Amino acid sequence: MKRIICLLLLLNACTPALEEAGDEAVFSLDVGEALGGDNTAGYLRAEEPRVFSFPQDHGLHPGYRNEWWYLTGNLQNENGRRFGYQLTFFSTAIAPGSTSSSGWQSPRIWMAHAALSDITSGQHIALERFSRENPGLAGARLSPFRVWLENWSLSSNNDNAFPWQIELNDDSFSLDLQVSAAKEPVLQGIDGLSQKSPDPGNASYYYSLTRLNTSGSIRLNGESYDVSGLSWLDREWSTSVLADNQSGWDWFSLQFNDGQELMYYQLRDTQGNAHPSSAGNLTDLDAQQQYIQPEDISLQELSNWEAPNGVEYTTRWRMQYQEHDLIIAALLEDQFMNLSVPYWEGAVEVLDADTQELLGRGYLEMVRSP
Amino acid sequence: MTLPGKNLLNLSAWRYARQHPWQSWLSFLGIVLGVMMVVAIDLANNSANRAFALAVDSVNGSITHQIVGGDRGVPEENYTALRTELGIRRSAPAISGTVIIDDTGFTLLGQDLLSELSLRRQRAGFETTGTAFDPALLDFSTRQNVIVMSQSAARLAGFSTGDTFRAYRQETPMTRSIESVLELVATLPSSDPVATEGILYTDIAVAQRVLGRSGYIDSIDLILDEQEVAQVQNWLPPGLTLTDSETRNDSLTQMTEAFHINLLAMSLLSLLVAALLIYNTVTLSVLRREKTLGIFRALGVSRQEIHRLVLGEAALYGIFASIIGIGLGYLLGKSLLDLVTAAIPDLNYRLNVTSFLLTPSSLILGFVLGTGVTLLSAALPAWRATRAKPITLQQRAGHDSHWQAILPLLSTGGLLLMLAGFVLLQSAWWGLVGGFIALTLLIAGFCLLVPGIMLVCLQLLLQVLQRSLRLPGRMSLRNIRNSLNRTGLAVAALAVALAVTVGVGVMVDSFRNTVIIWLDQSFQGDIELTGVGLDQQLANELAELGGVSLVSASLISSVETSLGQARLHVGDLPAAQSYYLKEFNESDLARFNRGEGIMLSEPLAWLNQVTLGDTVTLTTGRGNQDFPVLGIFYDYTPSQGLIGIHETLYTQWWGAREAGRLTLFSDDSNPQLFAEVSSFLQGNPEIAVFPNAEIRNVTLAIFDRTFAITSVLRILAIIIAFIGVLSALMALLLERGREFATLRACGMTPAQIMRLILMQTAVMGLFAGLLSLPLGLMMSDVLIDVINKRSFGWSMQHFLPSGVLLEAMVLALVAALLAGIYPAFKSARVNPSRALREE
Repeated sequence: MKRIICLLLLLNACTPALEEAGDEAVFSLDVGEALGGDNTAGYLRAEEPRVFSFPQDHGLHPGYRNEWWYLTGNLQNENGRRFGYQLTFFSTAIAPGSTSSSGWQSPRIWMAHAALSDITSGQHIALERFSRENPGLAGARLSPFRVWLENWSLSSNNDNAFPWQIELNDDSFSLDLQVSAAKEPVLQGIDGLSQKSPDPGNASYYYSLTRLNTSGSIRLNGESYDVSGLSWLDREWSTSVLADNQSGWDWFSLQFNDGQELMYYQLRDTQGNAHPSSAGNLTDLDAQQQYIQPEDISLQELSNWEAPNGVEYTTRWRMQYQEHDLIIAALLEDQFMNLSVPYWEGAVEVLDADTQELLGRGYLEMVRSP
Repeated sequence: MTLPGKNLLNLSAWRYARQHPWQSWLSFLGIVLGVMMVVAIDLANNSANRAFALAVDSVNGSITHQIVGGDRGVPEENYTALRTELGIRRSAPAISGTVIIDDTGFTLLGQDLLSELSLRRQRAGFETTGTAFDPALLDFSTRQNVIVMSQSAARLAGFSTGDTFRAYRQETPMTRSIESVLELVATLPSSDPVATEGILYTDIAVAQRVLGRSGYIDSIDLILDEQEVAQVQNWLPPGLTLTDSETRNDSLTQMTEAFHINLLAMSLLSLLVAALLIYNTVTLSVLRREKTLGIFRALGVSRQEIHRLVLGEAALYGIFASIIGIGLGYLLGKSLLDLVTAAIPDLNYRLNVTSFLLTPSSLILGFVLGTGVTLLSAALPAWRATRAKPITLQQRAGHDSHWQAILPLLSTGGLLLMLAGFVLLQSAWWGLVGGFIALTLLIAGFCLLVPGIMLVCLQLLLQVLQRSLRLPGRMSLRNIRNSLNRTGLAVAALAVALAVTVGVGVMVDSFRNTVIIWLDQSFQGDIELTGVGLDQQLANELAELGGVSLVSASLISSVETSLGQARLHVGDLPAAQSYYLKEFNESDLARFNRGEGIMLSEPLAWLNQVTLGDTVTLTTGRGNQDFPVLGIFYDYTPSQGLIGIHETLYTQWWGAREAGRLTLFSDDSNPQLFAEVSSFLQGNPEIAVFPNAEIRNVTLAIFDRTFAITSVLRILAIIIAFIGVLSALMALLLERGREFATLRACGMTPAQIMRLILMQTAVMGLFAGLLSLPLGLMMSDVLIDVINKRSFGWSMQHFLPSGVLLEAMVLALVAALLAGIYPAFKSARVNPSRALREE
């Protein structure tokens, strides 16, 4: 489950409140509204399970309103300097059925978010870009596989095969990474159909590459670091997901040292309580999965951090699932993404609640209403 | 002197003015018109400049650089490459062009809102972010026909949200227009309403479609730091140029300024004529009142007081006339604005100047010039008034003989002034301003020469015609000769006024004729094709059509050179067929055709002092390369310099590129050729086809539009000249009322008197007319060879339009005769005994 975009909201003619913060224009968005399903006529919807096939499904799924490629990862260099990174490409269709395009006329608008957490120095940088699709400014295609927005890209040098390259260049930092899938794609939800609210069609098709071996280099503040570690790719496409009474979520993607991965999203209702549509998945060494329902899992908020916009984000959690009793702790308190859609997204470590032993690493995302 | 005494003086001045309303009013009118011209032109110039700056700013915003392309613009994939490969993010594509809605032109400005976001530019008073993320604006991307305007611009145009319009674009100024339907979906507040006037904001995809620019954009607008500049320079594909936006605007501004200086100079010439009128009037008023002034002096009025009286009078006239002139100038300036605007070099977008800017400096200039010129003109007569002998009145003849004594001095002074003018013209010192100073010296010198020339001519005439002339004829000639101090002055004033009309007329006519020759030489062929897809295959197919003798391909690109940025014309025709050559060696032409060198446009060569045989460095597709200059050709396109190269050279250094223009030469065997070519290209909407003759017509129409303001100024100068003739001659004749009365008393009939007067004015008119011709031609020479050359680097052929010369003669004679009618009528009717009683 991922956050959808301000663009959605904009394109659906909801009026964003525009505020000036310094010289940056910031949108305050109501995420529930953004992901609401008001204007879905003409779009395909995720109503039934489908057959996934790869590498085709790595590419774009026209006909749905939203789609994203969501990369997160925990990396470190040989001296043990730790980094977390995020690179996300969001695509939003402008109008249903508008697949034809020419010149600058674009069927989709793209947004990309990127972030780097330098755990050692405590620095967190968040970036955001927008672009229309045409002429070739942003997009997703296969053979060769490439998802890009300007000079940020995720691509394959060898048709659609791994390793894939992550290239990101910005004044503030650069990423030059190779990722290779250590496991087959994991279909989330029920056979890849991830129901987000009770209404049929308020769902997405969702698969993950839960363990991507990653190596490459990071440039930050004029220094270059050779790094390696693990990344996670979430792929989701949908037309509408949230119901009116849902407004945010807490999303965990955890990679255990024993080779298992756990994904869980806890949807929140407008009162801030967990919504019954929350769900997750435990992936074992052979990419076999266990579906996790809200009643199977217990989440406890241990401590909060207050973001500059006044919203409290939980940076220390206790998660209990079957035999697992875990502490999930942010590596940095401030991994706040102060972008068009403000949210908290950051690197976490997973500890044994009893022994404090490091069991794994992961990423946590929290989208909450102010 | 006590207060009542002072009143007495003023009262006498007032009475004089009351008794001689004609002279007073005419010279008053002269100042009014002169000031009006200066103020009007200056105001119009300022408004046009401001609108120009705003237009550039509202379209370009606060950017530092632009990437521009050749005749078709920048291929859009270059923008993609810039962002995706180079990662230059502070960049945005731009397209603008004119669309017509209900016969009104609007600038359709296409932008990509998401790119604009990264540029963060302040454009036309909109907050970029506000513009970019207004939900209605984002509607841009979903619906392909929406536009947005500023609230003020929409109000001005009478549009409101939800309106739909049929917008027409003109492919070329004369071909078919293509219709699109646009819908105004939102109006936004702008902090600078003037800058958004006439601008329709739309998505770049919409603009591209409506303007028919598929695949291309006008420019890539950039904010670059130094490092990025180098990065972009290295990456820049052939045919594209990175320009500093300030330099780009500067060259346009420079051009406009040169034109405006010319206009202002012309209006100053009118003021000069007005000054002569004032001098004339004040001199006459002093002469006429010498007796009164003498009595005043006898009564104990001091010289200073007399001096003050005369100057005070003049100042009063000057101030009032200037104020009225400023008022009228304001009104005239408003109506001249469109004409002045039309003279601004064409940009990609239309300049909407509906707001008239009232610049205080223009008004002050008018006032200072008006009163200053009046006081200066009155200074000499005022000084002379103080010389009035106290006791008895001086005989006028005494004055005249005194005047004849200084005639050689005047003539010598005149010759010296003209000589100084010529010397100044020869040296290139002081550029444009030097040129105008030289022109002023020439005119002033000529004025001083006029009485001398007249004296010689009159003496000759009297001797030659002694036998054949009857008494009235001889009398009228002698009358003129004997009062040369006044007649000479009047004739000089008239001659200058008429010369302005001659000079400007000849200059414009010469320019226009030169442009016609240039058009013939530079735009040969019969049918032009422009657009996308003009490849060799199409050229071959067209060559197969009946009646086509030759298909020539050419393109205009832009190139960075050691002389700065220039347009590059690439053609496949021999030099002699492509250019209107100015300087060249016969042998070099063959070298040019083989691709061994380049041709420079005259303005480019002139401004950079480049001559034949020099080398110029061009940035080619394969790096910097020196090329010899093999020829210089005339070019009158009002923009950057032009460099001509042969296709072979272009292919060698830049590689092959698709033509931007195909020219079809007809062997005249197929009268249906144009129709056939049009139908041949029917399925290809990207290509525009039009007969070459129309390019010529359109270019000339643009020329005429540019010079329309000049014609208006010329008409105003003619009116001032007319008033000048009228006032000077009338004043002169009215003053001689007593002489005519004497003649009546001696037995002349009223009819004879009338004939005498009319003959006298006719002779003076004739003198003025004849003298205006050499002076006018001299002025046109200076305007053509110096002023225009120094302003624009354009040289032109001299043409002598007989119409302009004839016009000046007719004008002089008609005005002179009209001026004579009232005094003749009055003198003939006067009762001799009563008129003589004053004596």
